[in-house]
Order: sequence, then structure tokens, then C-alpha cells
Amino acid sequence: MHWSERDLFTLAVGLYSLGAAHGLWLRRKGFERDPRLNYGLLLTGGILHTGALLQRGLALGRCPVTNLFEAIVFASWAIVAGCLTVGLWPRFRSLGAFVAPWLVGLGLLALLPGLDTHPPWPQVPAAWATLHRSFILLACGSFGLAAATGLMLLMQDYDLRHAAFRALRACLPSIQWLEQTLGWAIRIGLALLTVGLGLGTVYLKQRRGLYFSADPAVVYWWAVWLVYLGLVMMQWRFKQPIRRLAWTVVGSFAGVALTFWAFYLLSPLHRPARGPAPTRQGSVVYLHGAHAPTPGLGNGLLLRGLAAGPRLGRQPGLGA
Amino acid sequence: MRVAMPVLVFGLSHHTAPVQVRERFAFAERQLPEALARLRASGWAEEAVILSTCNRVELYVATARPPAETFAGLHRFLLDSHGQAESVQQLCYGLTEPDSLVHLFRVASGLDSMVLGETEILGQLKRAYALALEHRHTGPVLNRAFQCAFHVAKQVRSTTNIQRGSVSVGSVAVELAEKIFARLTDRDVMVIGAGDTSEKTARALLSRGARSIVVANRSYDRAQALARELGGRAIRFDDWEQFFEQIDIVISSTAAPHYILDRPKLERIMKRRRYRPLLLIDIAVPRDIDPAVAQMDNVYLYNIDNLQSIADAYLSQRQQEIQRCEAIIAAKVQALLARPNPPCAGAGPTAILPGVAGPLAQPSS
Repeated sequence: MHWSERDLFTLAVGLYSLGAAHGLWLRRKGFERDPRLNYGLLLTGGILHTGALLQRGLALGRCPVTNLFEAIVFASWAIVAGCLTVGLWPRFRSLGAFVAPWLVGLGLLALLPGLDTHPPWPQVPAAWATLHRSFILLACGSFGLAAATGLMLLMQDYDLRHAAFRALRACLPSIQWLEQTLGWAIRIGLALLTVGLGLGTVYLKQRRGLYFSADPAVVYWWAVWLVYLGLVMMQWRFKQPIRRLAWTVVGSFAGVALTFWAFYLLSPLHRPARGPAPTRQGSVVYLHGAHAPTPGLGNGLLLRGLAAGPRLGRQPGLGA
Repeated sequence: MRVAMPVLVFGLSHHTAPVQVRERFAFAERQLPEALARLRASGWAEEAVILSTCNRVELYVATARPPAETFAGLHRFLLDSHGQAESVQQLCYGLTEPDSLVHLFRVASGLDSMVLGETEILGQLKRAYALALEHRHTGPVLNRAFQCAFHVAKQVRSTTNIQRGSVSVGSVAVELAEKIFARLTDRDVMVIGAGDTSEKTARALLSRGARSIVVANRSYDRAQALARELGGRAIRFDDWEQFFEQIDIVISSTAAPHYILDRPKLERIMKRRRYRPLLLIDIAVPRDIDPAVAQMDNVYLYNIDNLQSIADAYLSQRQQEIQRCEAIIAAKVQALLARPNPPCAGAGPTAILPGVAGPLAQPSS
């Protein structure tokens, strides 16, 4: 039995859903129990998620960050990877309960039909462009982690004020640890976003001779950069209260998660025209682009790494 | 079959005797080797361990003699050891198997302690046993019983919540501080008003590594005395606001009839201290700190009722665990009595003191 990368990702989203449900149960129990099961669910989901990304990456011969499906899968992978890493510290193991709902939301969005269109151009994107997208999506992962930490902080703060006994029994980190983790997550996210946008600027200059384009996605991501820069500055220079910081971080990421795909779809620079479904001849898969064919590849894109026979999702015409 | 020499317990504790009686029968640690030797020489015990703490004086013996006769002999031994003539038999208890083993296991697990579930008693019991073992006053019966008791105590501690949480106001305050601050080692504490509870709370925070302590009191001499005891610094009561900016934890217990800290005042201070988290522990009655400050960001305020209710909740949680602990103990006692080589008797006495296990010392007559 062979599992496509879409199957693996769907399974991972299923496990994240279980993690979210278990997280609710943990919350009802006041996070008194060691959340190993929750961590285990996210770890298993994360392994399947990584498998899905690897499978697609190997099949395409590049980092899978080209279309909206891949972008969401990659960003949510960054969130789960960060969560699992931070969760190695036992007190932060409950973070999975706060991350899982975000992962479910993003996963369901990614699995919507019509998002996994195949890029007709450029068939093998330049390293600059790949890095540009990867860094921005990793930044999203870091902001997502910050948002989950922010939720945890708000809950801990509420409990310490209104249900101190529950707060004392909960296996959660202290307010200051949460504040520091949240601060690091947004600073790392901002650094990644800065690098990603810088690489995008270089790429834009190379391809179009421009440093800036009024493309909706470009404008959007610079706006996001400004928001997070403002957050970092507010925390560093003006030291705002913890609760306000946490609410702002949660709100900012919710805003990004709810809107980034819309700007992506509005962006002629980033959004590929929907191409016909890929076809397969033997071990070779062709993506038939709407744009000019790449020299040496005929009128389609040769996907590398498929000799072993992995399927490229549930695309009609790919065969079993 | 079980050996014919059962374990007996005779003694008095905080359950049966007031402190005025307990203190008369307490053994100093240096007296114990000689007392153990005398006890065995008296013929009332083949093997013996004496446990003497502030809450109990208990003789654990293994003997083939009839229990009633032995208890009378042990009572006489206690009186003679402390030069007492007046009988305290009505304040003492004597237990035979299986109750004696149940009692030993309950003591080791902290179930018989004044503060339910406390762990100090286990250390005291281990020391008492180690001392008897070192001087070769224990043999196979008590070695097996005590090793099993330590094993049971470990199991009770690790599988139940009997020792979880703090049951004193001071340690609850420490727990709250640990839930707010990343670490206590770089935290500065201020004590306003040098009361008994505030002193205990400050001590608890210092024992967990709090960096420094400042004491402000209406009586400067009292502030100096407390600061000296705590290794801190005394300041005049009117100056406490000047030091507030550097402080992370405040313990307030003045006799002031009004709030000494209100929201407008604290808002100005919080702005100056750049909203660093602040833990306020108000143990004064009437309260020293306006409850409205609890609404402020990064300010965590707890009064004496808050702290006491947390301590009570922990205690009630411990009490709910008693049944589980008793079940573990009952099963272990049954196993110890039923099997010639109970599983927990596998670890020999060398587990406590390597190299000192040996044959019983001959009692001097």
C-alpha cells in the first residue's frame, strides 16, 4: 500500500485534530496531567507531516513552497517542528495543546480543493525564490508558535488571578518563561521574515529590475513585517504589559492566518495560473505549463525523483 | 511460614501525648547507641530500633516474648531511661503484628505525621534505623521490616499525591512566586511589617534562593533585628516606597488601619519599573494593599485568605489520597507477612549503610 503525500498530510491533520481535542480535555483537567499523550499525537502527526513534505520535495526535486497548498503545509510544518522542539522541555510539553487548533485550521485550509495547482512557471524556481518563500513561511511558523505561547500565557495569567490553586497544580511554565519564549519567537520570526523579504527583493531586482512591486502579496508581507517590527520594538523599547503583548501577538497571527491566502490569490506575481493536471509516462511525470516550456524539457516540466514511484497527490492522470 | 519473632511497637506520639510529656521521653541522638544496648540487654528485645523525634518516641523491637509482658517491660525501660517514676502507660500505645507493621509503614509514608504527607519523618526513620544497624542492634526481622517500609514510602510518594503541594502559607507563597518568575535567584524581596508569618514567608523565599531582602518596619530596631536574622537590610518605614522599584516580591503585614499601597500609587511605580512582574503578598488584617491593584497588568496580589485556602485545598487533596496510600500499605503488609521472602525484603541492610551489615551484637548483660 502506498501513501501519497496528501494522504500523509491528511492523516497528520487527523492526529492534530485528536491533539486539539485532547488539549481541550487537558484544559478541563487544569493541565494537571503530564501531557505526554498530547505531545505523542503531535509528534506522530509531525512525522507524517515531515514525510509528506519530504515525499513531495523529493518528487519535485525542490523545496515544496510553490503553490498555496505547499505554502500552508510548509508553514504549519514549521509551527509543529518549533512546538516539538520547545516541548522537549517538560514544562513546555503542553504547548501542543495550544498549537494543535492552529494546525487543524491551517491543515483544513490546505486541504480545500483547488489550492494544489501545479506551477506552470518557472518549472524549477530559482534558489533565490525558493529561499525567499521558505524563509517567509518559516517566519510564519515562528509567529504561530509565538501565538500559541501567547494563548498559554493568557491562560496562565488568568488562572493565577482567578484560580490560583489550579495554576499551581498545572504543568505549565512560569509567566516569565512564557514571556521570554514569546519574545524569542517573534524576534526569530521577524529575523526570518526580514531575510525572506530581502531575498525576495534581490530576486525581484534580478528578474524585473525593480526593488519593490505594488503586487498585493508583496505589499501585504511588508505590512506584516512592519506589524511585527512594531511588536518587537514595543517590547524592547517600551516594555508593554505582558497581557497586552500576548493579545497583540495572538491577534497578529490570527490576522495573518486569516488573510495571507487571500493576498496570495490576489497576487499576479506569486499565484500561478492553474495548469492542466500533470501526466505520467512510466516513471516520468510531466506538468503541462501555461507558460513557455523550459528549454530542454519539451512542453512540460519533468518531475525528478519519481523513479521509485511515489504519487504526486491525488491528481487525476497520475495513476496509482 | 513467618518467623516466630514478631515486630512490636511501643511508644507515644503527638496523637496520644502533649509536647510536655513527649519532651520528657525524647532521646538525644548521642544517647541512642547506649539506650539501644541497654534495651537489648534488658531482655525485652532481640532486635531494636529507637525513633525519637519532636513528635514521637517509639521503640521498634523484635522479640519472642509475649506482647503484654514486653509492653510492660518497654514502658519500664522508657521510665528508667529518663529517670521518670510516674506511669505514662495511658499515653502510650503498644502494637503487635500486623498493626505494628502497618504503623511503621504509615510513619515512613508520612501518614502518621502532624503535617500529613511530610517527608522529614522518612529521613528521621532512616537515620534511626541506620544507627541501630551500625551498632548491630537489628537482625533479619527488623532489617526486612524497615527495608520494606522504605520501599513502601517510596512507592506511596511516587504513585500518589500525598506529598504534593504546600500546606503552609509560606510555601504556598514560594510556589506562587515560582509560577510567576522564571527563577527566584535574581529576585529581590521586601518585607513591610515584621510579623511572624511574614518572617516565615521571607525565610521560605530565601531558602529557595531569593537574592536579597529588605525589611521595613515602624520600629526600626525590630526591622534591624529581623534583617540581621534573615541576612538582609533594614530600612526606615517611611522609606519603603523609594526601594519599591527594585523589588519583585513584597510581603506586607503591617498593623496599619488603612491601605498603605493603592492603585494610583502602584501605577506610577509599575511604569517606573517598566512593568516587570510584581508579586504582592498581603498577610495583614486589615489588609495593607488595595484589592483594586489586582486588576493591574503584571501585578499578582494574594491576601492571607487566598494563601490559606490554597494550603487548605492541598491538605484536602492529600486527605483524599489517604485511602490509596492505605491500600498500598495493606497490600505490602500482607505480602510481608505471607511470604518467607517478601519481595521488598530483597534489598539487604547494605542498601542503607554499605559494609556495616553483620551479625547482631551480643547484648551486654
